[in-house]
Amino acid sequence: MERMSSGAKWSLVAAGVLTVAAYAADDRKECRYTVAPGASVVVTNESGPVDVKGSAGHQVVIVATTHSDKVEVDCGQAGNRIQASTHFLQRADGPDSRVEYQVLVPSDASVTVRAPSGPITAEKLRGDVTVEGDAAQVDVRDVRNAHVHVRTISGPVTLGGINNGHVEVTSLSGSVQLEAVSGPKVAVNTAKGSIRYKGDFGEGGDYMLVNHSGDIDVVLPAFASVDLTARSITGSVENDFPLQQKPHSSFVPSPGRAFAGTSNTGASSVQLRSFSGKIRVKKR
Amino acid sequence: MNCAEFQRLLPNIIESGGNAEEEAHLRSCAVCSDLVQDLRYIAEAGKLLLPMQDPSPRVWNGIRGALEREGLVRPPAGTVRFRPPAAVLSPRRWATGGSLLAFAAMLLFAISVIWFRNNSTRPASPTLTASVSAPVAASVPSAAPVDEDDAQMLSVVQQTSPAELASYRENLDTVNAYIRDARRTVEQDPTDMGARGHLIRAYDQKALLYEMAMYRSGE
Repeated sequence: MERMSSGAKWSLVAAGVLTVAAYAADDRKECRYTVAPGASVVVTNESGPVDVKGSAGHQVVIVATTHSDKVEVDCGQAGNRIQASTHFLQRADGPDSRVEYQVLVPSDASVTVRAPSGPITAEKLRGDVTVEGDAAQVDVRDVRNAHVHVRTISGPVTLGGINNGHVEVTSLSGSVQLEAVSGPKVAVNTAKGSIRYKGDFGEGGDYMLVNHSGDIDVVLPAFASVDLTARSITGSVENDFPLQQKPHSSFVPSPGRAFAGTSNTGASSVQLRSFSGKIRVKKR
Repeated sequence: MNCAEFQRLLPNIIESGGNAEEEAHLRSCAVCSDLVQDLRYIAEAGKLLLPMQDPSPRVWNGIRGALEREGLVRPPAGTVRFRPPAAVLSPRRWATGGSLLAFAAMLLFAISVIWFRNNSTRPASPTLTASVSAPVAASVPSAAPVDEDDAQMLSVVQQTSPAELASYRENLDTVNAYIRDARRTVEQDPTDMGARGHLIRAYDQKALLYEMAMYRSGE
């Protein structure tokens, strides 16, 4: 340190001042509420990420960080409903408009997040999850016995570890990836976004993966019990998973365009539909 | 009771009915009787406008966009979204015929100003729709044409989230292509249930796009 030049010392001081100034500009707001079982939590954020985690207990904790005095965060409780939203006080864009939310909720809470730019993450939840982003990247993990509804325009969607879920994903151009997602109802609908499913399709669910021009890739283990149909109207289909042909079926196979079959007891119905994309089914 | 006294109490009489004295005046005075009849008619007619209490955001944004271009109002600040004045749209404020008429007059005035300006300075832009959609169509490169509704939706995005306009235009083209493809296939084979399913989902996606755009506008 003794040998440090005067210029270097001043640089260090300047860096320190800038760091302190940057932190000073940030404003951290924390809201805490005690809720009854089955609470509803709604978070709306125009710009910036929202991160929601389920936890034990009966507390909802919302930590929001703003970076300018042009926006503020409003939190409130009405009965068993908690609401937090970004409120613009004046013209703001870029970093000034950005707010970061970290939200801790009881795992049985029903959560709704609207964050056009995102990213949005939600995990460890047992209550219903509704997520709406525009270009937001959406990542939902470790959700059980709940509805999971995700809608984006261009934001990519990743779902993982969804058990016994009623899952509905709609995206125009965002890609959708599902890994270990199962439940009585799983529906994915995109326009040109690709759809990838990796998992065993559970035991007795109804799965429908549909798009316009993107690809649909499915990778499933040999023990998967599925009644599978795949059709691409003007695109193509490929299958290297062993399927038994059903003796009586209203679905008409067409080489290169459509195939159908069952494996094991055919417990889950799996419908893969693309208009002009390529559908590929592979054995893991 | 004379006419002046009666008319001073008129709002209360219309709202809750009059007392014996007021009723007596009403029966004996043709002028006040006609006045009350007219006001009750207006109030009843005003109730028919209640379904209009929440006009489409396209209407608001179209009006605002045109007024801004004409320099009659200033653009909204930053990303703060345009909302119709809350007081005007509040159902409670709409409960009286007077408020309804005030709103109708305001709307009529705004449309008149726009029409007058457009017709006096822009003969080539005779309609609000054309004047709103033209800048949007021009500002985003795309070969695909858009219809009137799409143009207005893009206009909303342009005003509220200009940075997202290109993305919305691209996704609009995508979903319109989806609809076109599915519709063509259904037309070729109306019994193709798969194609019908695609068509329904394509429209679902378009609805999503519109919904997101409306959300950005504050709806």
